Amino acid sequence: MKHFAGIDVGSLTAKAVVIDENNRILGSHIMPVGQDSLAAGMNAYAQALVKAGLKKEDVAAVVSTGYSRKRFTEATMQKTEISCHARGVSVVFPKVATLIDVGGQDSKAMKIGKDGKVLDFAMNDKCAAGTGRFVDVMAHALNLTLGGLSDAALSFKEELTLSSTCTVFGESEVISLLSQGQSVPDISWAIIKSIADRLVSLVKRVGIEQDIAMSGGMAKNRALVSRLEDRIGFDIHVPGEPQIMGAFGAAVIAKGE
Amino acid sequence: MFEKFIEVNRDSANRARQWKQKTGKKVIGVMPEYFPSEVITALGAYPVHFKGTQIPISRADTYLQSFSCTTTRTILEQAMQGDMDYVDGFVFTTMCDNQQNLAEVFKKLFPEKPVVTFMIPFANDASVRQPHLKEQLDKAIAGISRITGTGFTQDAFQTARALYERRAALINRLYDVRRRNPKAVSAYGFYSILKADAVVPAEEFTALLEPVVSALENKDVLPVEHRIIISGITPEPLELAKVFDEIDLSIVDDDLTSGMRQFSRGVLSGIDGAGIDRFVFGGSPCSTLFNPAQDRRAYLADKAARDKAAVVLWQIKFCEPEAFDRPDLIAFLKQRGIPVTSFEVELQMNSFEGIKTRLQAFKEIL
Amino acid sequence: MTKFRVSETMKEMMASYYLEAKNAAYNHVPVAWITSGGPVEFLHAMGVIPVYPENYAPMCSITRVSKDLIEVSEAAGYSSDLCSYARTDIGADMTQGGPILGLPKPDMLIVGTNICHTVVKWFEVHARKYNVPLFIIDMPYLHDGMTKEAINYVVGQFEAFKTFLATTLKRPFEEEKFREALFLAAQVSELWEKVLAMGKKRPSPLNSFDTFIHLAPIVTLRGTQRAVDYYTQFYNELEELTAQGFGSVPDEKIRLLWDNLPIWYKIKYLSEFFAQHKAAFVVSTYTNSWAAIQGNIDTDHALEELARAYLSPYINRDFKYRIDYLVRLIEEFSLDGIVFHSDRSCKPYSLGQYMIKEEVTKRTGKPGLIIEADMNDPRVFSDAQFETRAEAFLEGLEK
Repeated sequence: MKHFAGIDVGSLTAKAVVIDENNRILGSHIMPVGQDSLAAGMNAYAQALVKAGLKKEDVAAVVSTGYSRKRFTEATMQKTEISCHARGVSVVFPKVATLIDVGGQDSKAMKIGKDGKVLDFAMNDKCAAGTGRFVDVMAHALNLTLGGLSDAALSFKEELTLSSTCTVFGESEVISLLSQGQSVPDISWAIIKSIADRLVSLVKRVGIEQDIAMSGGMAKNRALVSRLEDRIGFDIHVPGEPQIMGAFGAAVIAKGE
Repeated sequence: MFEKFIEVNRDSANRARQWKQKTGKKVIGVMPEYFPSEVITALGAYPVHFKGTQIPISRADTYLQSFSCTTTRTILEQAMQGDMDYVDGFVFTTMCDNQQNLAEVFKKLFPEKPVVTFMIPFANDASVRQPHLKEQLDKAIAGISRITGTGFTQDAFQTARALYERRAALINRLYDVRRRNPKAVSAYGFYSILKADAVVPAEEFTALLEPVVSALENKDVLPVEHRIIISGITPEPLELAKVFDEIDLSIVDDDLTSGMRQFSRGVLSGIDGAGIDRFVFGGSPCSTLFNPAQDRRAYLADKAARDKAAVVLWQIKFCEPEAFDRPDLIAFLKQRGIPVTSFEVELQMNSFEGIKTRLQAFKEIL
Repeated sequence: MTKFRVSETMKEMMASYYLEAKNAAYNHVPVAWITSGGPVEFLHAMGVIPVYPENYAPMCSITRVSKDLIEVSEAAGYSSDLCSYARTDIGADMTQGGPILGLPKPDMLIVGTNICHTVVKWFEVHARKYNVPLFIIDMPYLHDGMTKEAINYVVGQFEAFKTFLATTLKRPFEEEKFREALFLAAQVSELWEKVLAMGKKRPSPLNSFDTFIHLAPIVTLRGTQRAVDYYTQFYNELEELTAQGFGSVPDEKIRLLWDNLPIWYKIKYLSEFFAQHKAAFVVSTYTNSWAAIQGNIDTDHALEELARAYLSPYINRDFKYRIDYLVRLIEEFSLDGIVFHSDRSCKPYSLGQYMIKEEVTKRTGKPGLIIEADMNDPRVFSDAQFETRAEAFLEGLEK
């Protein structure tokens, strides 16, 4: 049996996945990128191999993806995370037609055709609004983890709005809401609504078609998924491990080569 | 005293819907300035002006990049949220690139609602621009007539004119009261009235305003510490006016497109070239108009000197005409010894701490 | 970018043009600053040297000084949200900076509004500084298509422009020379159209990064014999190249359209990036706009024809026209997709692109890519963000 690997090094985390010919995940690993994206990617790959009980030589092809994809000169091929997420998610949910992926620097909405081919996509504009980075900064301003932000948001009582979509202004707005005595859950919900609204605009740009799925670390944020479902009007499928979908898709693409 | 106006602003869409049901008349949305309401009224419709509002943007981003101004974006947001369902057609006055393209977005997005465009001319020479303006007006009248099913008659126009003359006279009295006794009316109250003017039928508006102005005229004159003139397009987000009240900066006059500029030019005298030319260009200088006969810097400096006031430029982020004028305007005012400061806002803002700090610091140096 | 034989000719021609302009005051020749869509034929008739801040700003960008100049104007209070051509130009004017150390002082300022309303505000800044006359030729946006009213309005202003020139220069307007300039300008525009039509060849002997550069003479010297000679030479060279089967992008696989202004400070990088992916921009709405400025002097209505021509550029047209036009270009140039540069600095070009892209894709099945950047402000461009988007788009186009 042949084995394939995908390495996805984004702006915040490095992910690696090793699969077999049947797309079964044999090992995977996630770690923070830190200072050296190449080292982080290689490290994640080594760990995934250990978990899979394999050696580098056992792997027939490797595809690298993510912001640092080009640093992996050893990889068989480099593909953008857009193609990789689409491919990965379409293996898990074969009927997926629309995919939302929220990364650290970029958020994407994709329209997906047969075999996970990307037909059209829209991405956030220059500012960080609607990206993982934005939520990170806001959670930090509230002294919460990402999970904590989601939990807090789900217990909101009052509808507040966060008007600034700019990270810097947004942060000062959060601080000023706090100083006005607004509750952490209400502010958290306002943050979630703000990013969800930006994502819905992106999705509308490619057109909303069922089935809809979401990948990337932010897909684990239940408050965000629930707000998106409300605004879009359909259920959103979230894979078991949304964060490794890019690396998984990369491995699937490696198999095809 | 201003409660009624604040209430109107809070609920303007519903009031318009009710008005429409009651009268069976059509509603024309005006985007946003420099089209004569008296013409729309004469054609049997009710003009509602859209100047952007403090609404969170959640839908408009699908069609407009975030580098368009929030006036443009919040107007589209209102439309996409269904807040303009009662509008039967639109008049777009294109005086900037944002408005120009927004008209096209509306045409594609709401094909069932006719869009009439009224191009503001930029030609140097009044003799060249007048025939063009006249053609623009005729075209607009024909377009609105098709929506309302009512043709233009001199009688109806003269009746509408008289109505708008009354309205303008009242608003000019309101401005006079404030100049004489700035403490009589809060900034928030004053601009709530003007905001209501944009959405309430003129007849109803004059009826609401008449007793308010009379009451204000009878108030005792109180001493004023810091006299301010605000200059810009439109005082939005309106909530920000409260900051001026809170820190005791008294606005004694303004040079706003949706404020004094439209009342300083008078009512449309007739639908001839000279009449519409005077209507568009006869007011105080505006950053969105090209009028070589005027100098906004000198105008504002003279006004500030006369009123012994400092100037605050209330600017909306991404408004190019205003941002281009700003450096020279500030330099000119400073050279004439007039204290001046500026800030930029986005309409959907709801936290004004930063601007408040800035205005407080400005007050301290006055 | 492709090295053509005429590239050298162009460099020399542009150098001598700027030299003449710089020496204008010494030679007692009047100088006008004019916008890219301004009716320059009138100036040639009167022997006024036209100078283009919209040509100088990209020159500053390509020579990598636009960022510094932009920062100068921002420090003087011009908002970073304003048009980056204006910010570059104002900065260059304040410091007498850029590759030719500032533009020669203007005797008059001429603005055409067929590209935007921004130019009015921008040139007002110069008018205040230099205290010289500012003449606007308002060429209104065609919300309702080409109308008789719009044409008449522009003709009226052309007449007023003649009077303005005669009054300002204190000599009568030279009708004969004007007709000559019109004749030459029409020829140049026709030649330019023929040059651009070479993009229909497969492989294409030139691409948009080439035409962005070779646009300079038609912008600055339209209405002169030099420009006619230049584009005749260029066209002949392209014919030769095509006969040899030459493609400006080796092994051309993907054919694209570029919408909006170039990203000047990244032009070399972008040219190499797309060439590596075997993608050629064979047509652009931007360069096509100067082919639209084609008057016809063989009628009794030369001014009307000229007005029609100046009202025609893509950026002055309504969305329905833009969509139909893009659909037509996809067909005529056998395109695989469109790259829309969403240009932070250019609202009239950019606002509406999302909607235009959506409808063009719906009608043709050809995908579009939005790249958010800015024509002259390098601080807005991120290589990594661009590459992710562009590569994903090209991955989708691979057959």
